[in-house]
Amino acid sequence: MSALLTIRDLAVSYQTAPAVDGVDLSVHKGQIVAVVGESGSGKSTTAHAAIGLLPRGGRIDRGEIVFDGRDLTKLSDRAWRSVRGREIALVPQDPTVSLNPVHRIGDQVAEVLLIHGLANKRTAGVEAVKLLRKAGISDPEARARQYPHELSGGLRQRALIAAALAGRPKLVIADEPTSALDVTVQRQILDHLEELAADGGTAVLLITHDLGVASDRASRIVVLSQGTVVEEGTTGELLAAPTQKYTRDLLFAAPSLSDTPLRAPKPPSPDVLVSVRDLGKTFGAVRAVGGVDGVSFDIARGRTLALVGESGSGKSTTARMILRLETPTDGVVEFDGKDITSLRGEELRRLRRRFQLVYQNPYASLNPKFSIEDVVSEPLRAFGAGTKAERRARAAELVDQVALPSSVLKRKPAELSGGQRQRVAIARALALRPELIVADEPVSALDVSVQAQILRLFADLQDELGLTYLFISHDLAVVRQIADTVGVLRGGELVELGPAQDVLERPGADYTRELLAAIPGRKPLETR
Amino acid sequence: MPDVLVRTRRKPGLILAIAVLAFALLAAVAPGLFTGQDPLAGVPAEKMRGPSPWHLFGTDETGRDIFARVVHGAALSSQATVIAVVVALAAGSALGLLAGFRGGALDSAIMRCVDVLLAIPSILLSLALVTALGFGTTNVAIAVGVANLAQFARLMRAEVLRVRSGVFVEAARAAGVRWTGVLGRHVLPNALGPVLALATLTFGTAVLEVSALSFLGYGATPPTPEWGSLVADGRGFLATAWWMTTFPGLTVAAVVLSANRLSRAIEGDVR
Amino acid sequence: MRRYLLRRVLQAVFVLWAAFTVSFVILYLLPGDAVSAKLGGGEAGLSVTPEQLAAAKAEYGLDDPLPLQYGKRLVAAVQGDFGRSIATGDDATNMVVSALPPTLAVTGFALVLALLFGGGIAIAGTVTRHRRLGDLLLALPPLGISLPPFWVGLLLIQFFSFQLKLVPALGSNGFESLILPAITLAIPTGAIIGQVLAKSLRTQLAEPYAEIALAKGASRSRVHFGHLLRNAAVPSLTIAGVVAGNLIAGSVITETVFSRDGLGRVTSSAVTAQDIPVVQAVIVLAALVFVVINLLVDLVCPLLDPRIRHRETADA
Repeated sequence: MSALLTIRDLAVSYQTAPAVDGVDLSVHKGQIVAVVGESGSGKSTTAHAAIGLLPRGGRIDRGEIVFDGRDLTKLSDRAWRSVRGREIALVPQDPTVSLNPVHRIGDQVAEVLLIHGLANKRTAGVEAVKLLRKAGISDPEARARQYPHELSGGLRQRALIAAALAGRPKLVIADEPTSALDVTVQRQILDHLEELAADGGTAVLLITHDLGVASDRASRIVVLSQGTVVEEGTTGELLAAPTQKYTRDLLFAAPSLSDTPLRAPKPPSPDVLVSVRDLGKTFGAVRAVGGVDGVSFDIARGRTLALVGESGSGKSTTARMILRLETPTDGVVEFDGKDITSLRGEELRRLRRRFQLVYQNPYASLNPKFSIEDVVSEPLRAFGAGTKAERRARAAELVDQVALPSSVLKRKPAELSGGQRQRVAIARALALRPELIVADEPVSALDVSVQAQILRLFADLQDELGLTYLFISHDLAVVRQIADTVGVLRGGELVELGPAQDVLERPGADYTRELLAAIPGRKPLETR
Repeated sequence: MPDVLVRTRRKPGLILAIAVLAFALLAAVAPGLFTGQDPLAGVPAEKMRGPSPWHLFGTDETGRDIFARVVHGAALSSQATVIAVVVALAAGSALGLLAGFRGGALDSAIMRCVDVLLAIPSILLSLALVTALGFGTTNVAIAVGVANLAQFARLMRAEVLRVRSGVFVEAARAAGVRWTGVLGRHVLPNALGPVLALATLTFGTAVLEVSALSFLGYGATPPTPEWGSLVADGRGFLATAWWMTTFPGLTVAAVVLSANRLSRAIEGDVR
Repeated sequence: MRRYLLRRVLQAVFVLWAAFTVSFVILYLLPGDAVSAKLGGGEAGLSVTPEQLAAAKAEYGLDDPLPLQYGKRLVAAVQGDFGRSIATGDDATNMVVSALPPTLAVTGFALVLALLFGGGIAIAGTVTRHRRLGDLLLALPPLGISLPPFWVGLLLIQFFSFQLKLVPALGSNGFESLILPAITLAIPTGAIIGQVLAKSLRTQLAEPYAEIALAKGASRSRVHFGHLLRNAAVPSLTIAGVVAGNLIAGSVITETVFSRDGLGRVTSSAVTAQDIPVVQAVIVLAALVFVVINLLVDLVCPLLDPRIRHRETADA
């Protein structure tokens, strides 16, 4: 049986920089094929080329994209309009910005039907409601009349899926359809996509950076790196016996798939560095998203506590209260036995030497106009520690400690990669020799292979310097690598707290079980 | 700044813009470099001549060389414009910085006042100031400056707020940097770029407003040349000596276009 | 929703009061003596006795202590009374209001032209697939903003009136006399409208929902007119007040260039004569126009954008 979509030797470039250089892949009717790659691998470009929506400046240099017997690269604009939405559809990554904010949900789904003449003005509305119901949206009549900002992220993505499937396309291209969603919602959405595809015999080209997602959902996986195909094959083959080093590295680095933590969790210790009791934070009069209520835990010296939760669970707020970047409205924060809950001004500033923060976004946390040397030595300057020469020496020392070459000292942040910038952020955090480091989602903005390296760096530094960590993450798989104790937050409340092994293998709370079940890549390999 | 020079390599438009602006500023301080003719005393025998190699822009009704008058007019026009931009930049930025940094009630108060300045069209505001202070180029300059400071206040405030809420600023605070350090090393250097772009753009709009006011007769007293009043002088001879209005006006247009072009280049550099 | 409107109206009243106060401060506080100027004092050498000066000042209420003057004038202004013109002796408000119709004719016509051409260029420049054509069209607004209106007006007269003899150069008679002034006013105004709209459209075009619309099979024009325009309208409408102000200010120049009657003429005469009450009346009128237009925009925006609608009802 010939394939529905065959891409042969595709090459795409932007201005003169090549993004895709010789990609082959095929998708058969009813099949789900995953294209997996890190940032810059060309997976998104390939997907956009397949629906004829390359961004400005993008050009197909060579190759063919044969769909249902036609070469799409030769298609005119006019002809594309009858293919898009009707034969090939797109499910985008970020549902927050992919819906027109001034049109009703129902209208946006109905639009597909109207464009392709599948319904007239009278019937389109009714059809749209049916499609919304099929997409798993309850009370679809009411939802159809609402606007995007009134729906949650998950519902918006369902609406987008409904719109994508409205024209009953033969192929759906899903470009990272769940990366902007919470992990529990992710699972539902992917389940749903799989179901709908199986129902209508629709083929799915699933673009993702997450090998776990790919292995759960797809029957074939294509691994891309730097614009070329590194390896491809059935999921079972690829996971059991990858032939290429890159694939093996990717498998090894993917936290959801490897079962062994970086090192064995340490036993609890009575020497407490940080203690919070009944911590609470309300924003405004009503308990708003991100607020915290009645959270208590201890962090022992030299240990790692990981706080896990989805967006809005209050994990970041808790961390910020400990660092006194926010003031708690209730409860007590103690650092090394001292009550710092209402500490302010110069006293607080002086205390900052002892605890530091590493941010999630390596692109935003470094001043773009500073040189790396300036960035790393700034905390020293702030406290007047040492002469200029001493600070320069310390900067070199720090940069070495995070395994960066000394040549980076003269460069600016824009010249470094995400992983390198995060190392710089860690070096800056170490400058004043703090006791506590709070890391807020320190690896979520990084590629999977880089994530593993940074986590390893954290682990090594803890061993070397006796640091205490508070690790914030939404990703239980990441947490599994490095935590000694795990706390699970939901809606501002701590639903579970205990040694890492216990929480992750024998969870007490239902919510924790839900979170664990939602981690992609946990389906046993035999069922594929 | 060096980045701007690098960009000129492939952009003839930008080079031309910088050349025109350089001419305007240079002519303001050293008019002798560009013309040897007397802008004030005419040679009656040569009156009402069209453009020629001896009189690039032609002559007016008393025989004065118009090119010389334009060159010397650059002095007053540029001076006034520079004063206007400095007034707008200094006062506006200071207000915006204060509002953005302190926030709260002070912020609201300052921004309400700034909003009022936006409600009155700047030409009318300038006219009011001229009414009160009297005619003359300096008064016109101050008037145009005050009328334009609202934009700087708004921009500076927006930039301060944007940078202030930036993650790297908080990171600096978390690392123990004091507020003064944050302001001086983080906020200001990052906010400066867009402000510079606006200042260049304002140079253009200020030229337009200054010359408009002098066209209406509120600028320098004759026979001192000023671009706007030169255009006004030529009004009576529109049918017979088109060059009297065309060239001074063209000069103004060229300077404004150049300022716009340079401003876009600076903005592009900053982004 | 009502709270939203109430807040806006209060802000509008504040702006009007502030405009009055600012103009009072500038005109009455700063050095410069209109009355002496009128009576021929100063450089002209015509001497005036101190008694005559004092009497004239009393007549215009200029001899009261400043806070009292302010108070009196504010109360009067709220009732629409800006005093009497120092130059002509007529009621200032009357002078200003009766000068409006000819100005409105020109500015109205200019606004229509500006919307057509500015808006048209912005839409055409962003919807077209031909990159070069788009760039060319979108290069026009910056050009339009750079041309001095007084110069453009004169050039238009020179070309269309003198050389081609198509339309009259001066005067306020008939429809033909509106054309050149309206075009002169429309060029910078249309340029601003074009620039702002083009920028908004470009921003919207870069938003992911535009790509999704294309992915559904929509044509570019459907995306532009059905999706982008409405989203681009709200940020573009924020300049409506500024545009109105520019039209009023511009009429000072065009009426001088084309020797037309109207608000502009009244204003420039008043400035030349240092006729404070009239200048103040014009300024407050301009602020009034700005404020009213902004209120109208505030009424329209919630209709266009459901997010604003819901946010404001949630507050109330």
